[in-house]
Amino acid sequence: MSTQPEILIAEDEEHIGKLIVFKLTKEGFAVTHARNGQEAINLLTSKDWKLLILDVMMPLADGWQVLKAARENPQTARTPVLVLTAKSIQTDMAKSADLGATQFLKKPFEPAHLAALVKKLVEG
Amino acid sequence: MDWDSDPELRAMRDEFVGSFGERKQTLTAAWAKVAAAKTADDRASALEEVASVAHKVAGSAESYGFPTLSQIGGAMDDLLSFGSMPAGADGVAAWGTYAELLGEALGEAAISKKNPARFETDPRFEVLAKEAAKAAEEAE
Repeated sequence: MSTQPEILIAEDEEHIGKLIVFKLTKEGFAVTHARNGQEAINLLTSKDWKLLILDVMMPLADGWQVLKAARENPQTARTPVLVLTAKSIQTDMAKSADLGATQFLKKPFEPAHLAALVKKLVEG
Repeated sequence: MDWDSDPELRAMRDEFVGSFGERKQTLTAAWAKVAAAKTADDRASALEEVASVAHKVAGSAESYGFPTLSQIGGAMDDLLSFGSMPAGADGVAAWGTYAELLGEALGEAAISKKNPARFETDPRFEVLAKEAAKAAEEAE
């Protein structure tokens, strides 16, 4: 059984997903990459996630739907959630907070900045 | 990120750069559909395809060391999401120059494998950035 903190990332842009997995794996996390929102919803109860990282715009189910499903599930209701979006308007930030996201990060981001934020959120 | 000293990172960036040609082709094909659309629904659907390319470039390119591509893609994404295309052929032509701009920048970066910074001072980008900022502000 892995002793590394488990993180679930939902990101449909393959290249940015790979970059996040690479960086966070190097930082000592065990990362699972869901390629769409529905896959992320299906994985919500598969492990004891220490953090969920959710892109907003994804096929099949968007990040808001995944976040809502996570908050409605007792196993992930209190799991920290980091929301990623390339949109620049404040309404996305407000919606993230309303739905129970822990933190919001605008894309594009510097991978080192993401890693620092992830450490902070996982360590609580 | 130290792209050149880590072979795995370098391979990831090469793979990302290798996607620019296909992104440019998708963008060009989607814009041709916008220009040829006979109905508002067809045009809206084609604009969504253009926005999807711009959105993905915006969200990923800077993380791989191509900030200019993210800036152009982000401005296009904002304009397409929040703005309204001016009516008639002039509107299609005006927005078409922005699609061309992103396509040219992707094409140049695909060949040089470097951030195409010169496009930040392209007059088309200056107009696009202003229009996108205005559209996003009005959407708040």
